[in-house]
Amino acid sequence: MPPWFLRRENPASRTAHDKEAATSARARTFAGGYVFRNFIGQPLSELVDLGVPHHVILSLTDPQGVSLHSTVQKGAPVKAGQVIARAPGNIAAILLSSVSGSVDDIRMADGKPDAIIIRANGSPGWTQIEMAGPEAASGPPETIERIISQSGISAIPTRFDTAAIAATDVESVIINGVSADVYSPSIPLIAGLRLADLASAIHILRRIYPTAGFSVAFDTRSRSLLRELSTAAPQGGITFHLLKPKFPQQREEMLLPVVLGRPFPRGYRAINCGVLVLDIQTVLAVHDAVVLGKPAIDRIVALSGPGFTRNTHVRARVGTVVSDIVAPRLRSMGRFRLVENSLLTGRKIAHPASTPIGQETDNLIAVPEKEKEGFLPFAGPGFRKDSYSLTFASRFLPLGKEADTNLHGEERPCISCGFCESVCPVRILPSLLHRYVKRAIIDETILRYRITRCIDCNLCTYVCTSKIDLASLIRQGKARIAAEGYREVSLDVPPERLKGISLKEPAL
Amino acid sequence: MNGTTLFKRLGAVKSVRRFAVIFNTLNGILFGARTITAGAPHILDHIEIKRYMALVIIALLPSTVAAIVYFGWYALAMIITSYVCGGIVEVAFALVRKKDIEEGFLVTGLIFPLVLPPTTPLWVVAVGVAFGVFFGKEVFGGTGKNIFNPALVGRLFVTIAFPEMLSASWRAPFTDAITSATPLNLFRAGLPMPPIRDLLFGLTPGSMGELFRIGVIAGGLFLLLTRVSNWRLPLAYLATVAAFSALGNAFAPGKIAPPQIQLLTGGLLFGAFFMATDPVTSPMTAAGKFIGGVMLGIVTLLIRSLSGYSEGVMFSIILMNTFAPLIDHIVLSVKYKPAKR
Repeated sequence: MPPWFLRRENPASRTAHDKEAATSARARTFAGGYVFRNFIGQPLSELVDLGVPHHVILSLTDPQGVSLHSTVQKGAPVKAGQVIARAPGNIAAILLSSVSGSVDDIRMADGKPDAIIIRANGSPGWTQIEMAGPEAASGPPETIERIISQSGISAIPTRFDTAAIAATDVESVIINGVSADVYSPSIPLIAGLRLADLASAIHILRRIYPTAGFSVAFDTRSRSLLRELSTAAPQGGITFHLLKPKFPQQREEMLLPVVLGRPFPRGYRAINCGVLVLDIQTVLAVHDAVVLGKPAIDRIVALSGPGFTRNTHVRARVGTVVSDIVAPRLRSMGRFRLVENSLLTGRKIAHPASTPIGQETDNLIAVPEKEKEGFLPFAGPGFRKDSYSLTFASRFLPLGKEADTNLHGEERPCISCGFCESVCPVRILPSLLHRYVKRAIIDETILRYRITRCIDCNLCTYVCTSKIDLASLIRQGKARIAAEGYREVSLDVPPERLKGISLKEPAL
Repeated sequence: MNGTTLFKRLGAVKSVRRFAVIFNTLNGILFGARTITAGAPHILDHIEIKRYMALVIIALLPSTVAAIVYFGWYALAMIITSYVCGGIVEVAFALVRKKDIEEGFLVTGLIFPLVLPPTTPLWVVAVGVAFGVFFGKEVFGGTGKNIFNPALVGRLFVTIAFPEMLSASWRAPFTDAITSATPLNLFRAGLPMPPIRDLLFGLTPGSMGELFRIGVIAGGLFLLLTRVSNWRLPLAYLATVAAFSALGNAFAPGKIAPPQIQLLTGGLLFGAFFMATDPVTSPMTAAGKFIGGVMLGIVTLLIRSLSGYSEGVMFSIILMNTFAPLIDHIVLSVKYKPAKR
């Protein structure tokens, strides 16, 4: 029998009794990681519907990275839910217009079409997806798959080549309700009132992946939701997992080992080993598409961080520009940095007026650009300062913690304090690796020290006492290794078991 | 005009530009960082080297205050001498390298006088700290690159250079009488030991900082609980000393002192909590810390019991420093086996 951490559960063998045990049991987790607690500016459990914006920018790059070709001309009238771009290659990805109106422009970047800009006419309706309806949910799988392939939801495998792998290749589905970032959208808001729809969506997905095991993973902050869902969900074949809200548990690289007890196919995505990881919003979108016939044209986006006057959630059409959402809600005093989805790994939104929210945007974060600290900032008790070290009073008091972009110290040589090693979720030694990359020693040694295991969670940089950007140095090291022609052949997952990849295509 | 711009303007004045690093350092200490993150991660932990080192100083406060209470203003004079002379070397190197003054010195400058006997002449303090900072740290390239604990390099140098001052003349707290008998010497001579209470409060001859052992333990635990120092090495060190001395005492009671005497005499606690845990010079890997701690315990006991010296903490830590890279190398080569071709 393999050791407990590699043991694979047989989902079908779980009984109702086990289900109860899973939701009341101690939360599972992984070694390393860090729990971000109590930051000021958590999104409240309230939702504002933004309605139809005056224009949207729809990216011609699919969330899977597929380039799409526009099927509409400048000036053409479009309706919300209408197909306006398609992928020319193997994957049948489509792009739907999220508003009704007319094509204003096709934006170019680097000489190639980059996005379609649509001026909206203010009409709130959308084109219903054909064949959808309450009876479709229990209809033949082919109908469901056709509806999903028309719905604009990206990366769900169907028989119509909508994703990297086929529907029959899906071995496992993980429904990811884990919030472990500094700021995350409220799972109770998104899922809490729609548990029945969530259960219905799981039912729909089980019809198209009849042989797949289903796992639902929530963190301990949504413990009661998990319990409710476990009673609402269809019986049998679903396991419920309570996980610690420890960063980066929400990422598929950590969900796969913790939930399924399987190694992650390094250098690839979870889907390449037959595991489909879906967030709650996407699962609900499946329900909306199949049962209500509603195309995936809007997203719930949290407005988090101290930069907003009120930390609400908004329902906005995909493609709404960030400035339209944040401008009326940002504090007038001070300069703020806008970050998409995650303060640890997300990108900075430098031009909010030309950056739209995409199909994978669920959080817009505004943190102060703090170029000055107070007097003697290293001293003082630090009631509102977060730290992995237990050297601040904030650790022992329930006060909200401040988030800002200051470095909180000057860069110094590494003193081997070991913090990066303690938090690293993939158990490598960032402090050791960064020395090699810094001295440009790029050879088998850093491969031996498993540099390619790094999943770019940036936690090592976050905790570094010496303010060294360890994660960037490790990224540089990985890039240099890839440039020298090294391709990771994951020893944990044999390449012949990977799906939806061409073996010529480079990893990393 | 606030402080930041004052320092900025001073740095721009031509005649003082060569001292810009000093202004930068002062500015950093007083007003903090003026840099923001370039990209992801957009926020960073609030721990920084200055706070890290400040925490070590706080942990050393009970020992420091006790030293001043026990030995009067002369102890304070030793500490000030150490800071001034070591500081000159540190600043000189910062000016030459044109890099900020490194905060690690604040700890070295305090630890060094605390490991000296209270009878040490001030000029010996000055020579020792300058030697320690120069040869123990700066010649290797500064903090983070040094192999040996700089305070111990200084201590080792003065011990060898001035043996009559550093290992033969001790003084108990609140007395003026010079004695040559630390508790470890008493044990070697087969004389009766002072009571445990006196050892805990440090009312026996010894180095200034190691005496008030309750304060040393409190400071050490504080560092472990705040994660400033790692628990593995001191635990392994003290446990090894306790286990092997219990064993040794059972077989050779005259030669090897029992565990409670071993733990509560000499610099063992001070060394285990404040010197062996120096992250730069101790093994980096978790397993290496255990190995280093066990090695320290064995070497300390060997020197204490079987060598010409009655105290072995300093030598064993220097020896462990020497072996730290090798220990890490072995641990890493076991943990990360070379790929089979």
